[in-house]
Amino acid sequence: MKTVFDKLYDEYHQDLFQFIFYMVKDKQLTEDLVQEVYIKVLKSYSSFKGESSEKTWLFSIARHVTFDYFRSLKRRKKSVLDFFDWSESGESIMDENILPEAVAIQNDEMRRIYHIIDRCSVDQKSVLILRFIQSFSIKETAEILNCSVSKVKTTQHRALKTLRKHLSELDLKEGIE
Amino acid sequence: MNNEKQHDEKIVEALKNMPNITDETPKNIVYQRVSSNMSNERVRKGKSLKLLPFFGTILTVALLLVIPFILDTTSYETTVEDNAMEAKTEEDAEVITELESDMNNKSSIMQENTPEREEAEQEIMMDGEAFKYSVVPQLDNDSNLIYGAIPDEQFQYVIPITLLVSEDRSMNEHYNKLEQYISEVGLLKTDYLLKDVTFMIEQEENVVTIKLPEKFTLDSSAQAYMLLEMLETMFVPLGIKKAVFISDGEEAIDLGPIGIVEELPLQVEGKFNYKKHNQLLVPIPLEEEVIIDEAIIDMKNNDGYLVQTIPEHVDFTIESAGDNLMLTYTGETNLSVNQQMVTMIEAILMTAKSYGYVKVEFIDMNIPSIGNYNLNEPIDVPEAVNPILRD
Repeated sequence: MKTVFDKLYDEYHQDLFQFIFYMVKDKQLTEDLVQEVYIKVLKSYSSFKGESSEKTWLFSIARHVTFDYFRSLKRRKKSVLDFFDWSESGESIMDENILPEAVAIQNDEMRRIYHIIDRCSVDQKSVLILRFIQSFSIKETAEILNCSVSKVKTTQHRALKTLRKHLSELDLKEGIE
Repeated sequence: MNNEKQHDEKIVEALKNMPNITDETPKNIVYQRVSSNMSNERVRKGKSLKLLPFFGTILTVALLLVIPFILDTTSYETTVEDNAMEAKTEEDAEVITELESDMNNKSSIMQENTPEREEAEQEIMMDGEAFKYSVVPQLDNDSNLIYGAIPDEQFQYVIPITLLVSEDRSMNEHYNKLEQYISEVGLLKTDYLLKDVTFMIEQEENVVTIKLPEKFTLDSSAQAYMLLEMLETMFVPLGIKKAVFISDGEEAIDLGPIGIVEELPLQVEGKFNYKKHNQLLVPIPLEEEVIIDEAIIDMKNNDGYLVQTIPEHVDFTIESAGDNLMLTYTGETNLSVNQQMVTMIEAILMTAKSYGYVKVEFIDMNIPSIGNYNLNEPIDVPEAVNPILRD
């Protein structure tokens, strides 16, 4: 088990950590979820048949783990704060002002995008992170999300549209226009 | 338009320049945490293994006495053998006509079937053989149905199962034997999250009181989510709207990542499409924005160990008319009357149901009927999925 872990850690750990971090934006939580990913991966490594690359397989498991987290979060919010509207916006509470310590973003536009990405659906957010922050190809992203290449293109298009819309709204709100 | 493109380019550029996030935890610490967590899981499994001889005895007796389960759980080798057993009661027979079962092979249900193996199994069914059904049709009286739920091996999905039980026992008695029922058919591969949990259903109040064992814990958000999904799958079909938790008389339970709760609302929401794993139809949760056309097209894809329920050569155009969903076959090859088609129809019916459709019409299939399904008229969406018959 140690050998498999070493190999996966050496090759993918920082990428994996970064992907999950940008999905959940909490370092402690990222550590927990990364741990869950390793457990699942190590348990099922023997059944990995190499139909996709090891990297996309690992990230598809990471995607499942983070999706599960979001679903549980959604449930918790629903039961505790029933008045909160989770259906349209993203899955985590937007905090427009606070940046985690780990994220040193000086540029205003980037800070706004960092926050507004949470307005996207989980699928849209995954596509944006995988494609542009993690630099996966469309094909690799499709493998990770287990969907077609055209679905990734559509989701990417919708995600950018969502960001555009919310950035414009923010501009109006702040009177920048 | 150009403006939009420029704006998108700016956004993409900003995303590409987001700072790198690195984990500063030393590798050996990460490994220690992972391996320690895995060991804990093994310890928990080890404990349950001690009970195996006892359950083994119970299982042997049960196997001798129990009415055959209608869910086909046979392996590839036994599928081709003519060993079907007919359901015994008239009421059950109405529901499960032509369904077969092989009790000797129940324990093989959770074998590591590969997509290839499942596909091979689909292919081996010949015209005229009894079909295996994975859904319960609409019933006038559903009082003898109880609903169970199990996680898949990778803890990703909740798989609903439906037990057709006698009305001699109360609903509470049946629900409190669920673990035993599910275990008897070899469906419990991982630790059962609801182990030693007791249920008290008050249907008139739409409440289920759930008594958790003393040392009940949830280790991860995945387990917490799974638990809630299982409870919803089990009780929402009975009209239950609220779960109240108690533990040794104390109210308010620590459900790990969910927090400390006294009660939770239960509701099945969202859309699903259905794929197959080890003879079971598995509902896959879909994003709210996924339309029915996309959901059905996606059923042509294998997803890891989940097997497609629509063959690649089968294409449809899809239209809605009120509560009816209409699928017009546009594929070029002639469709065959085989198990694969039965599974496809049932998976589509269940998917349509999750989108709120009441009937599904299959047009231009050039087959008048497949098994119990008359393709010349709209088919009602089913009552439930993955049926198991028991006494």
